[in-house]
Amino acid sequence: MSLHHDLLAQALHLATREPKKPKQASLRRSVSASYYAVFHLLVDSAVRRLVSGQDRTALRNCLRRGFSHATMTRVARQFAGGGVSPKLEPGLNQLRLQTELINVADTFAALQDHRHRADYDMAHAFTRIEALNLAQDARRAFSNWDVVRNTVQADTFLVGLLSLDILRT
Amino acid sequence: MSDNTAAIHTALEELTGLPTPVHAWRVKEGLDATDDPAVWVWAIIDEADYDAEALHQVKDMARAVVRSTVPGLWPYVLVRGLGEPDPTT
Repeated sequence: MSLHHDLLAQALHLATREPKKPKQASLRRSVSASYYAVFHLLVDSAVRRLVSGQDRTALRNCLRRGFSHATMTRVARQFAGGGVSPKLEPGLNQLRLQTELINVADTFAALQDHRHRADYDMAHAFTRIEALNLAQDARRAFSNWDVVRNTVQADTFLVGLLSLDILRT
Repeated sequence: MSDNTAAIHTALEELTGLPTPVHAWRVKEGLDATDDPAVWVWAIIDEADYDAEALHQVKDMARAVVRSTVPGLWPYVLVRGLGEPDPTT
């Protein structure tokens, strides 16, 4: 099983492991795992598209470290909001963004903020339903990614996640 | 309640055709983790009605309402149960 699938399973498990009186530690780790499940799903997809071959595992692992959470969030917001950067827009070949891809982008951007609050904002207490629902959002993002993952729009998204901030206009 | 929050709350209350009942809406405005203006919306539901697929649709509808009501605010939509603490108090 891949890391991103394990993280998704962990998010669902932690959201439901104490059904009557859930611990904040469990719920916060669940929210964080939901975010990292989608993060690693997208990073894994990108590095496999960009560097293929069984003898390139080490190189793919190097490339994984080139992704920035801030850049990824910025690109995800663009794709979720429909305003793709002019630096990436030609890659779309004038094709419209699929609803599924917009959902993946929206979910990633939202989970990034929720993860931030889960890790750092002790004033916000998460609830079981909240954490469970966010884990199910992540699961839906996985399903939607499966629908679009081999399209040019998805590839444009992945290129943006890795490189938007270093692309010249 | 700010003008933005009130407008969003009213628009959410006027939503029709929800695929699962929403007992109440809670709305809170602020800055998100990237310091951008944002709004958090909670759909308060009866836990007995919990239906993940229907709630995905509810959240999509709520996001669309926020974006059309106050375009400058990034929407974060969450779900809480009736028996869970009120997120805005």
